[in-house]
Amino acid sequence: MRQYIYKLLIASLFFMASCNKFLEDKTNKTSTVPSTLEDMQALLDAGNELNLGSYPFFLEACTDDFLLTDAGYNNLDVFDKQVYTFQNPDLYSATEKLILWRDAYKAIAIANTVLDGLSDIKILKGLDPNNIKGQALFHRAFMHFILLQIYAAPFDEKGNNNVPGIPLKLSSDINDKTKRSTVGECYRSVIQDLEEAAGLLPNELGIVTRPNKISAHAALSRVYMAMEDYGNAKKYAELVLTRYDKLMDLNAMSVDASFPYPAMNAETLFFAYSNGTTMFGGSRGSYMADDLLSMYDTHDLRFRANYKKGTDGRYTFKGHYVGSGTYLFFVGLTTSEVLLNAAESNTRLGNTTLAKQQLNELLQNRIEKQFFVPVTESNSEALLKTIIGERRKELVRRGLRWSDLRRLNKDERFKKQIVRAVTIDGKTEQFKLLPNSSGYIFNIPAEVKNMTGME
Amino acid sequence: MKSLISLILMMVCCKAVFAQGKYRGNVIDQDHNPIAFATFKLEGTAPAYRTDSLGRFEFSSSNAIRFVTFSAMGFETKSINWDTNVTNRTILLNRKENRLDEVQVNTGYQSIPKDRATGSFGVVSNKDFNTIPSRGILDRIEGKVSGLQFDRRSGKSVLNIRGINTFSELAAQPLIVVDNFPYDGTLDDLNPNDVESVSVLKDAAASSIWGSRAGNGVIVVTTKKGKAGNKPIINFTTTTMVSRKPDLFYNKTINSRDFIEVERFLFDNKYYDDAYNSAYNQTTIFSPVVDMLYANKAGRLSDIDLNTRLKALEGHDYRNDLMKYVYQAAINQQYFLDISTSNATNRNRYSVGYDRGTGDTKGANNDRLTLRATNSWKLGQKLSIENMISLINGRDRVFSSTPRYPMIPGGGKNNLYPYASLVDDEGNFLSIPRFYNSSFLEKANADGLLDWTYRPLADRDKSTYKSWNRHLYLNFNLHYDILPFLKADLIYGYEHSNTKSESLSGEDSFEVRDLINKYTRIVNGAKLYDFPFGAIMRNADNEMQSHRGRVQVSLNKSFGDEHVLNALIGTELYTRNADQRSSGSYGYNAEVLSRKSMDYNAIYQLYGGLGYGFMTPLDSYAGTLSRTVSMYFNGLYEYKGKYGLSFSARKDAANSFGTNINSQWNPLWSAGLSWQIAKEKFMCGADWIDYFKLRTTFGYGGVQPSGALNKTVIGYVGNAKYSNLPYAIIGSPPNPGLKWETVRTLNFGLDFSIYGGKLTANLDYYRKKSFDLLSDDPFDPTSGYSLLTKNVGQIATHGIDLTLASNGRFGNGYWQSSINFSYSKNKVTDYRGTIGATSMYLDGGQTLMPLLGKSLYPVFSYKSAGLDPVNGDPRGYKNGDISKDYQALTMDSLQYLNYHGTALPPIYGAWNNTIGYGKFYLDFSLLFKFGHYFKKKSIVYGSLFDSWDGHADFAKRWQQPGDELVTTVPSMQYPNDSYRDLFYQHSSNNIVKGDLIRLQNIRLGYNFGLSDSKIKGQLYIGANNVGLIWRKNKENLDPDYLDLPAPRVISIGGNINF
Repeated sequence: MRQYIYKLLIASLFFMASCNKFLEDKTNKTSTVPSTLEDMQALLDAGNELNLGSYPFFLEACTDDFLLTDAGYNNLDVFDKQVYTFQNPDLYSATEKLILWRDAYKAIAIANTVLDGLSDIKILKGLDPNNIKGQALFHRAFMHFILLQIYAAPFDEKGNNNVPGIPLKLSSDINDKTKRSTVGECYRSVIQDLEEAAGLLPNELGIVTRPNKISAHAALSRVYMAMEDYGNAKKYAELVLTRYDKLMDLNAMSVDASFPYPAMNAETLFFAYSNGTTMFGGSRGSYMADDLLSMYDTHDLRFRANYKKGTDGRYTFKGHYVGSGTYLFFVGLTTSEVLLNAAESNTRLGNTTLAKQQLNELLQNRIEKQFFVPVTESNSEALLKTIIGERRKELVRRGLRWSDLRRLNKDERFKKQIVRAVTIDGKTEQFKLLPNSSGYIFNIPAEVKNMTGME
Repeated sequence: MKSLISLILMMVCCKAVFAQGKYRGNVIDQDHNPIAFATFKLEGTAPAYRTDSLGRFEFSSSNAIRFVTFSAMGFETKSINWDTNVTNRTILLNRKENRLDEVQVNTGYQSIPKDRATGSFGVVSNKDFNTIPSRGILDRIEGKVSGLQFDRRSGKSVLNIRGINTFSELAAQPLIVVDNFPYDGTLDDLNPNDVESVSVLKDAAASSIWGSRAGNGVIVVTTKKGKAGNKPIINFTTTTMVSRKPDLFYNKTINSRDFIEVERFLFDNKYYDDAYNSAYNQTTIFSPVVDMLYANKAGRLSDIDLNTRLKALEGHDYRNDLMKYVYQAAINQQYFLDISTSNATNRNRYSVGYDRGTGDTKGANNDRLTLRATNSWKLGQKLSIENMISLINGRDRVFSSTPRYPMIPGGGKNNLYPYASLVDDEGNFLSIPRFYNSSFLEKANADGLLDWTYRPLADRDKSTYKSWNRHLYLNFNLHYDILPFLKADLIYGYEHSNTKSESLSGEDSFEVRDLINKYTRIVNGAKLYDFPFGAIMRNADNEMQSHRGRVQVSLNKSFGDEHVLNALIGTELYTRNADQRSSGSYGYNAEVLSRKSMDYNAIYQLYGGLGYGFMTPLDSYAGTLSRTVSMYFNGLYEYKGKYGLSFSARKDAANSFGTNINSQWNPLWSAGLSWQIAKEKFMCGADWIDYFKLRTTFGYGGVQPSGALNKTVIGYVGNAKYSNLPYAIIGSPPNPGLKWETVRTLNFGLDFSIYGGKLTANLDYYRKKSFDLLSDDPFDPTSGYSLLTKNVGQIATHGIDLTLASNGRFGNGYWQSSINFSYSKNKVTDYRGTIGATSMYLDGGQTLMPLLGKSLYPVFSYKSAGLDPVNGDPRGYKNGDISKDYQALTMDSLQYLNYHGTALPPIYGAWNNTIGYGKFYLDFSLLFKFGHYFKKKSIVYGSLFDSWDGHADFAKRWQQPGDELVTTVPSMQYPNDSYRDLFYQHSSNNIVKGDLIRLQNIRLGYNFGLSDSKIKGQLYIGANNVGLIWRKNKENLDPDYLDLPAPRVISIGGNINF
């Protein structure tokens, strides 16, 4: 009988020895430890975690483009009310706004996961690792840049950039200490990432939800505009335009349609948007400011394309480059923006002829054909005013007005005070956002400061 | 070897006896298992004797004995006319029909007599299991075992054994085992008529043989096997159960008149103006009243007409229409036949069950066929084989487009305006708004689109959902007696289940019409349909296969007179593979089975400014694979049949992937002691005590964690918007250094039985501590993650389980009664995680929400200072002063809030009774729950204004000074302050005590039998979920349910066997 026991015991031992292999297979078949280039690309294709929604809505919340009716204001939660009235709230969690911060940094965390994970990948086949690295660098830089527009002082091209910027996240280690870098360091990092990305990314546009070399140059142009480095802004803008300069001709489009611009249209170099918030919704009492609407010429097709009049006379915005939407707004890069970057930079650099040529190229696609008159302004001061005016008319809800306000407020000629009035219980109260004031720098969530000990 | 056994005999209660005649024997049950510690008495002598742990006895007598009476708990007493010439005989005792206590407990690894165990077990006997007729198994054990709690607040039965040991609800479930192995199929698909009994393994010694899955306790379902007997036994059972229609009026919602009043109030405050006048209001819906008010304002509707029409609406409540046209009483019929046959070497049982039923909405029906065969063969002296095959075939059908209450019309609304009519006086089905407002639909109609109106009752049968499931279960057990005391078992189990479903949305269903219309483009006056006509077919196919193998060696040996060792050691392998496949087609034509192709990459312009859209592919794949390897040991040593020592240990390894967690895994163990006091010499005089035992155990169980990994894990979740590329998200960031959770339990128990089982009691006191509990914890969101799993805490639990059972006879009658009383209190003793925002702790205890020093499921509220006598504002306290700064109040730190207690009843139990007289019997059970709190619903003005979700408390709101003396409901205000809502909703005014007593079931039955007694049976009529007979709250709420309470079920049935 004893041999039976031994046999059983021996059988069991074999059985245990083979266990390691038996236990190696993964539990969830749709999950994996990222180990291939396809896995990395799949992480970067998760639009709703990266470029489709994650940019904080603050980027458009305090501009001079729109206002709210009193009922619209009353419908907002307390946090949004404070944002709308330039009160600069810092308690995010009570109204569940902390996810805005989390979602923005989630995009950066994904990019960092890819960047850190690429070095571990043994099987390099199918996809180009350089392309993937370039995409990740681009996403990281682009989100860092957007956050800089919200949470940090504008870049001071005259010198002192040792003021607090944003926490730069350059590693996927979740225990990496969160601390604020200076504005100077932050912009340097953004430029470095974008330049490296431009060297790695493919030359063609491809699917515009993915970054490419053209969009990396367009992003550099945008960053340098914000830094008032017009030489570089021009350089990168023109690098874009030599490769790709398609525009949509509004004359050939049904501008009265509910949403005239399709998603991923011909002008889009990089498709990205913010989920926005209810304060941008027409049915939530949002309407466009008169001073913006009055800028458009009668024959400017952008007016019909961008705005629709409600039965109460208010104009709501419909010119989303996202193709549709009520609360969301476009943040991506387009040829029209690049043309305006080039035109403005050229004017500031004294190349007015080139600037006019670039401006007219845009405008002939925007103004009714039979009424189009090219801009011939020879005074560079007047031309700059025209271009900046066109910039405002063109780039509504495209994630740029806030940066432009911050940049132009430093210039006596263009500085602007924004006023919003709210009537509560019959009492009208006015709120002002003064140029170059601290209202242009949003508060980092107090909860994050508490958790990290950051200033 | 046999000689060895026969030599070991033992006298339990020794008296000096004269060695004139020496008699010996053994006592066995019908299954030839020895009955340990049976009592026997010699006629005319005072002392009682007992058999030993192997059922053997010996006595001497100087007198000429005539009668010897044998008795044992759960068995019929037998008197033997002792023939003094026979010195060795075997006594067979029959099990009692109505025994109060099941002797055997099944741990899934072995079946042991309950009175020999050191651990804490609860057993639901077959009789108790059958007192509540139901389609499923778990419903039948509520209230039958102390320490087992049913939490039905979510609408499903969530079980816990002796409280919650973990911070994650998913990980808090007890392990459910059927016969030998954890069950992978749907437990409620098993036919309850195939179940013999249910064992509940409560403390560490009872459950730790299940190792890493034992931390929450184990429920073992034992199925019926063939019975011993010479003739075939045939049993037929049938039951019909009728459930009442769901009571839609249970939820107290705002009435139509009040709702209209609110709409007029908002209209006067220009609340709707922005949306009504907006150029982009296609998907904002307005109620008919608001439309009328605007028509009136524009002069299109006169004041008189308006008032008449509003007056007419006041009387409507759409729930009446739903009750009449949608809901029905659900009927379930069960038929069940089983046959068992046996002979000396072979035992078989075959059963067939057929159930069919209707759902609670019209057109819903289901049926189930269960087949089961168990056979056991003895092949020679040493080898026996037992096998089981079970097949379940189920079918379900429901109209998936049936409207249910509450109706959610979309367009930003969570409920429908109450005055909606779904049907007019002529019986025509009416439309209600859905997704789009009426002016948008008018335009679509003018453009010649398909009918875009939504008529819920007409749409009711336009879409159907059907599912079929098939479950196969095989179990094969090879049993070999290596030596008389050494046995080996080889067990293999196989489960295969396949569930298929098809969901067909008809071409004329609202769902399809809506899609066709949305994807219609009007180009130069012509309509282009981007979405194909035809139905939408969605298929799902879920398949699961699992294999389990076990090799086990068990020893059962006596050493000398006084030592008995029972031990088993084994190893186990488990693998389970599950695949989910779904597919589907658009433009499906059921006549010719054709379908249309789609372009999933295209971006389509939608009709009427609804934006752009994509077609969603209907196919997707997913799957899981679980594997476990385990080794275990369990031993019980007995000394003199009085002292027991048990030890058990287990080690598991699993393919929790990407982890090295296996290497961190410590073996889990438990140990226990028992002492049968009644067998001590000093107790000899007290022969009224049948049984008296003390026991104590100590040990560890584990809780399987959910997703804690030390590498980044990504999951492929579908195809991305706009690009249609497959994409992956980070499922969990790398998180090394995590430990698995363990639960340590210390248990003291006492069991006794007196006067031949007239009164029995089981009392347990336990202390538990759960360590290294994993919790998703707030984390620096700059990392990209706002929550991170960490080992953040400990929970200490202590409690009492008490079962008292009495069994009285009087004349022709009897009364069996048992009380199960459980007390379980837990406290979080360590919580290093960050505490979330105050508002997260105010859901009235619906979530576990660990917090240092508090119980799980804590109930908090803002201290109310009553209503402001001036304007009916709610008031609270800030720094001790009355305050109306709602924003500050609602963000107040948790320490300033009221902590009421827990929402999970710390005291609960049941009183079960059977009263019989002659051939009649009456069963009833009362359930009780005490000491918990819940939050009642009340008016939230913001939800009423924005999403039509209103509470009847609106009628009790403060309206004029003085009302604050009689009501706590704040006044209505415009504009609404969401913090004011938040404060009132979560204020102490709305926290209510949950204490209740429920009549769970009652049943009247009649036992019949023909004169020759060969044919026996019973007939009964009864009711379940009868209702509350007492509750602490004054609002007539049933605290066991957050939503509608389970409907009352009337059942009628019977069985016959011969």
